[in-house]
Amino acid sequence: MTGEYALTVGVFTGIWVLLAMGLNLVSGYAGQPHLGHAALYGIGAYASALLTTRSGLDPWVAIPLSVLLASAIGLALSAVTLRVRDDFLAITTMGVNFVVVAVFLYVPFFGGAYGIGGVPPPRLLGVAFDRRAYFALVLGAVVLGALLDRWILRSWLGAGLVALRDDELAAEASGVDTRRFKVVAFGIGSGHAGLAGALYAHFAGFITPQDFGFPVSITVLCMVVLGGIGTLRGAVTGAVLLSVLPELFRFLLNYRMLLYGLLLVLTMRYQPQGLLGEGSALVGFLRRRAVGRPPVPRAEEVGRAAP
Amino acid sequence: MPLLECRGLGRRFGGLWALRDVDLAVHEGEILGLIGPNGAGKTTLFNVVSGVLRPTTGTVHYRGRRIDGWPVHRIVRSGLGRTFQIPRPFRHLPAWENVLVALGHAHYASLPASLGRARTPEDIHRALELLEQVGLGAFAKTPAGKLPLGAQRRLEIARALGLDPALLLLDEPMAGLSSAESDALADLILRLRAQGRTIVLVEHNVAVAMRLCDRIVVLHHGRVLSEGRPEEVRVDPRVIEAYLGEEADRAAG
Amino acid sequence: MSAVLTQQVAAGLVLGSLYALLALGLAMVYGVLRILHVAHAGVFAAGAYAALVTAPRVGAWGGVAAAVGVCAVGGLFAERFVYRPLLDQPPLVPLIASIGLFILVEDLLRLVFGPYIQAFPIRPPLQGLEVAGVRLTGNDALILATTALLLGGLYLLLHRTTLGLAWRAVASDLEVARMMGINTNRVVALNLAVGSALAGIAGVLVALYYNQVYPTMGSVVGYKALAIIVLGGLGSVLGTAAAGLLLGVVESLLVAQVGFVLPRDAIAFIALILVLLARPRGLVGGSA
Repeated sequence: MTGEYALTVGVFTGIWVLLAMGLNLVSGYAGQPHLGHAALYGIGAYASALLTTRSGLDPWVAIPLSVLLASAIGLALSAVTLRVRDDFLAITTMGVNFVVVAVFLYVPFFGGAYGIGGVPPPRLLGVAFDRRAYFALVLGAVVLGALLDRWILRSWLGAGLVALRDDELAAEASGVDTRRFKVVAFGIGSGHAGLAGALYAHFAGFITPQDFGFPVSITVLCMVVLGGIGTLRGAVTGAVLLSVLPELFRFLLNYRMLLYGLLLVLTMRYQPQGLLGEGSALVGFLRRRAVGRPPVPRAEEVGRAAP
Repeated sequence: MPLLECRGLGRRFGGLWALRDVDLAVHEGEILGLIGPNGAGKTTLFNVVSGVLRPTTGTVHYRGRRIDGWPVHRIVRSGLGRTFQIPRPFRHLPAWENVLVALGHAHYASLPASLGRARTPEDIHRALELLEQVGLGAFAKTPAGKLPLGAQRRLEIARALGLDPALLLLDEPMAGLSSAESDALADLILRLRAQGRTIVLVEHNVAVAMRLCDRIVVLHHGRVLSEGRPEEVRVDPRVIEAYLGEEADRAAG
Repeated sequence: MSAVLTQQVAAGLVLGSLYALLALGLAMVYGVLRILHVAHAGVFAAGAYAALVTAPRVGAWGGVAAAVGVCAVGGLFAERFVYRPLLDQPPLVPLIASIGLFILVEDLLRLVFGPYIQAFPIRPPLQGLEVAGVRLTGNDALILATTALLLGGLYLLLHRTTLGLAWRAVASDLEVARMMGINTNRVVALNLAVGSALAGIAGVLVALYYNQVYPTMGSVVGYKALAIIVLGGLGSVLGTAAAGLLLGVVESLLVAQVGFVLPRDAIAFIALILVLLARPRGLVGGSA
């Protein structure tokens, strides 16, 4: 693998990681089955592409705006679909994906089947970003996202999300505003997707509606579940694995999907918590210090209270 | 002013009235027992008061404010805690984290507050304290799903205590416990009252209810059949008939 | 109603019948297992291929039998080795497993039969006919007749037989049904077998209708079927059938009447989203 090619793979992997981290908040933490993540990905991409090509905004302005837009739409979407039952929610989000792609495809404003081209790369001091610089940018975004997620997971929001994933009624009875938390998780997760989309648009230079179809949503979901649902390390690992492995195993190209399907079925069957999920065989084997998990107290530390 | 007041409370499911014209007052500092045969509406009453269900008729007032129609989390944050008849622990979380979730109740009210750091040493300390209070100190790190039923019931109480509730609704807390465990739990309930809390207890075991409670309310087919001190209720002919009627039905099979 | 409109509605009913047949199996599986059986679309495609391969040798009916057989076995396999072990996992797990299974089956079909579109060699046994001023081809008639028969048969099975009663009991509450002595494993297995068999028949009919068999034929209809079962109230046989037929008619009318081209896939989902917003429990909501 040449250096340039490796960098490209690196950039795309970073984008997948961002997507997976975002979906992990929604599906892994809040436990909401979300099959439309790619729609928010697409919204971020198209927003940034349009803002830079049609309104002449600088990418450094367009990208954050796109993140905000994707978050806002995610919040609205979640608030509206909140009444829908969990089982229905999966298919509803899937539907949203199809509808959004259809809008990109058929509403002329979005460029139709040809998409949007000529999306400019960001510039620093007048120099356009080359592959190396872009990789650094994406890496930075991933780190930023990871720090944000870590903060959330350690906050009361995180505690509430984990609780409502286990038992929503019990969480409510413990004071958690489950409605609001679900919506917030969805909004933040969508923000991640929007950022991934904007970064993709400015790297690839052109985007088409098919880039954000339902299969992409499924792929991200598989990454999250495979890696270890509800854990940051799982989302990252799953994304890296499913993004890099196909490149490494190019010779298997014809059998790639077959193996992918087999991998999914076998993992769910024998390690449903994911490769690096809580209590997985691998984690048990590697356990020394847990990443992303809060410290567990020892009763001796605190001292025993009188009976 | 009573701490909790239900006026004309009714709840209908399709054609069935699970609660009908229930007037109930709970006074601060008392232990109120809610008894009645199966299907009398006891859990439904809890569900309506705590906001899990909306009343079909009537109102619920807590500290003088009308709370029916409030979402559960808001009711619970105002100081009204409850446990469930079949325990609902956060199965994948250790016992201490179960309690911790409730401890954060003040933080869940607004988004900025909920972004504050959880699981500080003070939080953990308080969670362990509450676990000790219910006798679960040794199980702090055990995943709640793996605890035996009796322990899960006590965990529910510890979790409800995390809300620092002025009013506690306990739904059949003694069910499935050994007599030693029941006694320990009874002691705990008395201790909680000594802390200044008010307790409403749904209890199937009439003897326990009679012993522990200051006042008893008897529900039957969704209506209040009788209320008063245990000695009074025990000899109330309507109550005897309702329970005897139950016995007869069961005997007839 | 004008002749043209009636013709379009008829065409819509034919299309809707195909949707209904496919969605039914999906609804049945959801009814008892509460799992979104995404792999159902793969079973559907496999059925079409089974008929494609066997029909030249054993005739049209043999082909259909092969489709039914292959699909039923496929469904049983999925239930026994993928879904049953995952029953007490959170719903995302069997969903991903199902997706994996679907990808697996689709790719197997591609590897074995090639990625290209093949023609379907079976000629419909019925002649074209004209009913109430509406022209129906042999295919159309076959599809309508088959669907009506199967729907009727399924309804009778569910509501007039003891097996159907057991079935509905399991769909209502698996645990309670088991405690009442019903052999839930057998009922569920049967459910999967019958549902998959229906998919196989749908596969044959779709292949017949479009004269096309290709590995990814499951994807397009499969997604729509998911929308249909939700519209139909997730698990309700009647609701699903109604939703499928309705969708077929709506698609047919919209494509014919409206000026610009709406993507037909999106219609199903737009309808779904609109309906769910108005009635979060689906068109025929609140069933088992």
